[in-house]
Amino acid sequence: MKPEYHGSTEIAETGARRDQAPCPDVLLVGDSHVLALHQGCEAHGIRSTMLKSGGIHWNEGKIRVFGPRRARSPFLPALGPSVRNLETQLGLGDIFDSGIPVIASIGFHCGHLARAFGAEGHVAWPPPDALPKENPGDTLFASRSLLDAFVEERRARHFALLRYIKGKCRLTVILPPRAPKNAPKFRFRHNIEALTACIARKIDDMGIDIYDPNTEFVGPDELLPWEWVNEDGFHGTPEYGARAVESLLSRGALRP
Amino acid sequence: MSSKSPYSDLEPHAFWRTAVAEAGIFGMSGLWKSGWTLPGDAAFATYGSCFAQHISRALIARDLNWLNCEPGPDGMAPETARNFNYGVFSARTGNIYTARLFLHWVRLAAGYEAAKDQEIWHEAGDGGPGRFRPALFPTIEPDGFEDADEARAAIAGAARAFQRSVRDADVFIFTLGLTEGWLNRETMAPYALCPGTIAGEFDADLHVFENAGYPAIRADLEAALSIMRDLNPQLRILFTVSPVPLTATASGHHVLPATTYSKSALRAVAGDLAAAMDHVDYFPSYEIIAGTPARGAFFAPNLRSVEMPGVSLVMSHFFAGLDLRSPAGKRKRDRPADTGDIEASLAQEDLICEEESLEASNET
Repeated sequence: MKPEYHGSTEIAETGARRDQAPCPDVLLVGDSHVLALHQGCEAHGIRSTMLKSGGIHWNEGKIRVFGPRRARSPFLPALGPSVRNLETQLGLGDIFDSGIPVIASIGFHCGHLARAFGAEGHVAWPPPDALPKENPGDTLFASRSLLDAFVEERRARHFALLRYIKGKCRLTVILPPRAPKNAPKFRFRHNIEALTACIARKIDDMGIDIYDPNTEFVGPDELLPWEWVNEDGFHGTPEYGARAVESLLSRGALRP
Repeated sequence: MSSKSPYSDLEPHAFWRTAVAEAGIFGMSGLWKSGWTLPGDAAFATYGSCFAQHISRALIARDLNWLNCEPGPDGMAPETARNFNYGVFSARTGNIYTARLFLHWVRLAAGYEAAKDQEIWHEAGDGGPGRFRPALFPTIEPDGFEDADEARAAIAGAARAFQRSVRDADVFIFTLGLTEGWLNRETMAPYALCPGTIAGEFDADLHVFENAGYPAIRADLEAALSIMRDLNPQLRILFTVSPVPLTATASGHHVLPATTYSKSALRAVAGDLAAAMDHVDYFPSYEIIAGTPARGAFFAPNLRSVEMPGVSLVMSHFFAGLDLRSPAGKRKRDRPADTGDIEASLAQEDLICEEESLEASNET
């Protein structure tokens, strides 16, 4: 069912061009992991629009949301032109007023986060089995409270954006692929997992639907097999994306 | 018979009139001159009472080599890091007020005490599992720990970092604060705070008050110094006494004479140890702030907190007395071994993401 647009006044004021390309069925917003979802949507005949920028930009945290009554799209780093184009296509000042459901890969992109967290030797508690608790050398164990405070600080704007979107339309946040790249760097991977889990928990606590394809596909602690991961070792393949979208469809995530 | 006396040839600084009364608090000089010639990158470790935090900050502000053996995560906001007591002392021990507690930390660091044996206080939650606080430093994290294992891991981590600071330091600066403290009657382990004040529950049958006298203070400090010199035979120790008065006394006396007793006993021990050992020295923080020349001017209206002008004056005398003339050895702190690999991997991932972003621009 295609979304309907309300506020014909808004459309008129912005000079809506509803004779342009068909409106998307879903907005894919976030980091580079949404590309696999876009490919997955294509495979299922679902029209999707990506608002995508690399994790390095998301990590800058230069996100600004405006009051909901201002009907103005949030400011997102490196996505200005894409957002403006979509505003024009939809005839809206705020793309999230469209009612189009959103699948977001926002708040994770934990590589840089884990690098910063572990730069002084910190490992999130409880540590991985490969690291002895009793004699861990120069390792600094970081409590769960410390990890929580670190995440809260570094992801405050991301969380604000997600709350904003949730207030306007159906939102599902999807966890990134638990890819096998960097598997031997067990401290780094451990911190990535701990940070990811903390972020996911906080998003869940906000009442936002969160979907973890990794747990569904391979189990709670397993890495994805290489056949579902691109050569880069980080990103899901189109097949991975198609399976994730299939799951999202069955969960009703793509319903307006 | 000569008209000269042992005082005839003394320098002006030996006389109160010239050195203090006529100089005034801001004109005094030569209050302390370190007997050690240190390298320019001499490593300093700092611990002690709340006043000791000023020393840490001053060393950092002067870009001296202050040892932070238990830093917070990279990029954490300074305020958050301080809430978790990172960057306050050279390891995350929290305040160490008494000689007894200091010895306990030294013994923990050297392996004579075990983290697993340390007392953990449980705070009941509202229907949940509650939080856990180590009695050694109950407020080291704002909300305590999720379970006892995590709490003990924090103790062990601080002890390892304390040991590293002892091994790596050229000068270990310890600020003595109190003679009064509380012990567990069964284990004789000292508490950082009286149970029941900020955390824990007071049990009159289990918790015993101790107001250490000169002999006990000296014995504890000598024992600590011996263990520390085993870990680092070249270590120098600089004692100072905090000028901050007691918040409260459990001695049964008025808090003013109780404070004077505490500070006097600590000052006497510190001075005697400095006189007895070449590797120990004493720096007169207490005299500068609490001595009569200052006329109490550096205390806040509560007559306890030391205002920043007083801290600045103390540190100016400290740095004036330091001798850092020896050539620096250009020390460097090691980062985790896999740092290079991780940086390379992230750079590759960023490049991939950037290229995809450019391609996405084409599509739109």
